[in-house]
Amino acid sequence: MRPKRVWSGLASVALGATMALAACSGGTQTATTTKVGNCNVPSANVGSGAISGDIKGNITFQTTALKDSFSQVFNPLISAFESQHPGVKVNWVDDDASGDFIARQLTTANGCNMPDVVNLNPPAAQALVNAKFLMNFDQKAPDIKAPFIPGVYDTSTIPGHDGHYMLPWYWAPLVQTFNTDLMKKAGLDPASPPTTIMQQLDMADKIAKASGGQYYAFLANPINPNSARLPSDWQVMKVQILNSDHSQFTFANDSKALAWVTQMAKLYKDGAMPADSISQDQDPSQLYAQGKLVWGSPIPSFLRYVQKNAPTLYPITGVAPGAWDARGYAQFEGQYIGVPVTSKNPATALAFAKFLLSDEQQLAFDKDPKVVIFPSTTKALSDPFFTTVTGSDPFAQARKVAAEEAKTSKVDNVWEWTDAVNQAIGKELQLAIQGQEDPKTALQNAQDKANQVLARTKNK
Amino acid sequence: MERSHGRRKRGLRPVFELVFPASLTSASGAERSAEGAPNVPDERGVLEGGTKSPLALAPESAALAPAARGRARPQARRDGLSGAALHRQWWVPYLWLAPSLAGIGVFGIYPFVKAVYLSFTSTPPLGGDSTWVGIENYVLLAKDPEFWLATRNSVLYTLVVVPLMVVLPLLLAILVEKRIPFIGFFRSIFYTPVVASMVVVGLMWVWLLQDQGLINSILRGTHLIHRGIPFLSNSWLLLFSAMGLTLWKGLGWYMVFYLVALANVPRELHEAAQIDGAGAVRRFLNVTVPGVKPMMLLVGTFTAIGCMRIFTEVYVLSGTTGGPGGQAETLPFYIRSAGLDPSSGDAGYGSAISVVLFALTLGFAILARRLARGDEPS
Repeated sequence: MRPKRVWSGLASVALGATMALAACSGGTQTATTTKVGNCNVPSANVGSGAISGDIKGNITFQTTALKDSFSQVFNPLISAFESQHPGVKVNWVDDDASGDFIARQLTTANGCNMPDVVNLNPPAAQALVNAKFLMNFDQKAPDIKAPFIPGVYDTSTIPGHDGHYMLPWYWAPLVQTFNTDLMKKAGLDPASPPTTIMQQLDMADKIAKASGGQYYAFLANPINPNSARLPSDWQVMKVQILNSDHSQFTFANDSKALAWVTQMAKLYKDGAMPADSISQDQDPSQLYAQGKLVWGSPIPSFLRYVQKNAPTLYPITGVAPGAWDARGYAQFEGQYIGVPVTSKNPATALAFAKFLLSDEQQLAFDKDPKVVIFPSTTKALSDPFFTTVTGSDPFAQARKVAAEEAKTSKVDNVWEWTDAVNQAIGKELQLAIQGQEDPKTALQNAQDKANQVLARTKNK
Repeated sequence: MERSHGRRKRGLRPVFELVFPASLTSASGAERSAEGAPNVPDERGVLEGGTKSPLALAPESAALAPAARGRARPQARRDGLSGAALHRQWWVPYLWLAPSLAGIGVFGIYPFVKAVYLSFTSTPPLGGDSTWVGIENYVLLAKDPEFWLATRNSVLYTLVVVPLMVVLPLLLAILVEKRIPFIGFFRSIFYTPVVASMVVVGLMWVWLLQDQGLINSILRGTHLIHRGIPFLSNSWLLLFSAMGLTLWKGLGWYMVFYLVALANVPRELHEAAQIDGAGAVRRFLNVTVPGVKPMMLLVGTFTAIGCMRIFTEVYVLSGTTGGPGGQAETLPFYIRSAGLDPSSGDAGYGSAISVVLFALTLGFAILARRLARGDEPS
């Protein structure tokens, strides 16, 4: 009898598993769902018509690299939302932003496993909007725009797509941070930091001559995401990166780009930059903390790192506005919030997004002593915390500088400068900076390859 | 042909026929008709030509011969027989094989067939409609300098690392094979890199090799060099540094393989060679090496396959571009950038590179097998 029971048990398990798999395969598409990519999403989440319904159910909220350091901010925030809406449960997850962040978000989206509320940077938002995975707030929540700084909200759009698919969250204008002692050693005046990119490169030349390889001006890799050199340097120099209709890259014809590459190659040869930083994505913070780098990270929160890891360098770290050159203003370097159309509880997801971006919750995050960040709503930005900064240490200095820059900051993304374009241009410029390729040839090759990538992207 | 056919019959029939008794009848029938004469086992279970019938070789199976099988099974159940009798059902082996076959099918065969199909299409990397492009991807590959650069690097990697990975762990195994105090400690030390994460080990190597790293600091401190050796900024040195990392991490792993192989080399052979006056080198070449040769070929094949798939070492040491200008990138590195970039990548093109990579890997595996066969006594 026992074998009989075993086999019948096995058969039951197999039958059950088959039925479960059939149920999971989503074969029961109804009239209330719409196909987006590989996913059947609620039809109410796409097209026209605002989202309505009860705030209930479970949602997932994904941040980017915040969970390790800011649980004291987000746990109370989530608890407050849950207590306002009994029965609602918010599951907080975090992406550490390592590696291929954009590809990871797209893969998750195509697997129909997107969180309900997601923290994105502009390139990731662009990729998800191109794949039609983000909700259009103009149609689904037309009243959501009211509290945001109008200039910031209006420019938070994605080329080729009408409407708003991402809501601005926290942001920070970039600043200059530098080791004043090393500047003095190199014969430079720390009270007169550079205001243009070419001025900075000329200063780096003096640093190379004075340092004898003991310290460096900055890192060499032009596409190192931790140094933010390209395309930022070319943007502020007003290099003609693209033609007027953004169908072709044109930087190779611009003498300013050629001067930039030529000077970078000279600096590399003279030892103004660590030789092995040419292709690595090193974090300048580490070398700065060792006292071997003149310019530190342009992100204001970097000063907390210095205070903690190199306390002797903290008092001698200077802070100044970024070298905004011909452009004249700081770029809005912001983080955004999106609500994917795959959400099963869109009303709850939208309610949570509004709660997260409310004046009160944004201020709670911005006032965290570890960061120098600003809110995206008009009322929160006028809080005395941002308008009356006290203290004279580098961190307070950074708050003052960033608050001043914030007044004129604008969104200025080069949307066509995708990761693949970045790699194509970066590889050629690395060769030019190393002296393996003539700067003019390298620029032309970089432009040709970038245009090939752009053509492939537009054909998709 | 005749001989190999005979060998196949002798080698495979017992297992095959024990599992598929019904097939035995039909297969024998086919052979009978081909030979024009019946070939059924006589009463002693001996087939024509002297081959003993598998039914005779397996009395239990004979007991379950087709005629008796139908009766035996219900009888077994009626008798409450469990296990042994029921395990002889024709489908039971399939049941045990099913999980493995399903795994191989889903995660091995299906992706491979899909990759071959995709290589003839243009396909967005993260889903979407495919367009059939025929052999266009392969034509583009042939003209793509970045592909040839990556192929050169992968092949060079294999040609340099495989011989070293075959020999160095063997020498290490011979060293730690000796029974001396604390040898277990040394074995553990040599094995430690194997259990460490490649990314962690890679970062350690970056700290060692960078301009301000330990090696350059020591060399500069001892005035052997004035400027740092560009281990991580010269594409050739970068590639050789990555090879060094692969070797260092693999030494302990293959050392264990060789320790097993060395334990199977008869000590008497060494003693006999010693009596004949052979020195340590002669004994190594004429006794140890022939004794561990099958293991050397196995290590060579594994290493060749591994080298063609190198990615992490180069990625960690060189950064996202694969060294300055991408000059140290390997084939898997190029597959990632050409096939998987979400905005401009083409999974079809990436698959075409994967198929070429597969062909190259297969080529190295066949080469290793040929070398092995060439050494077999005729």
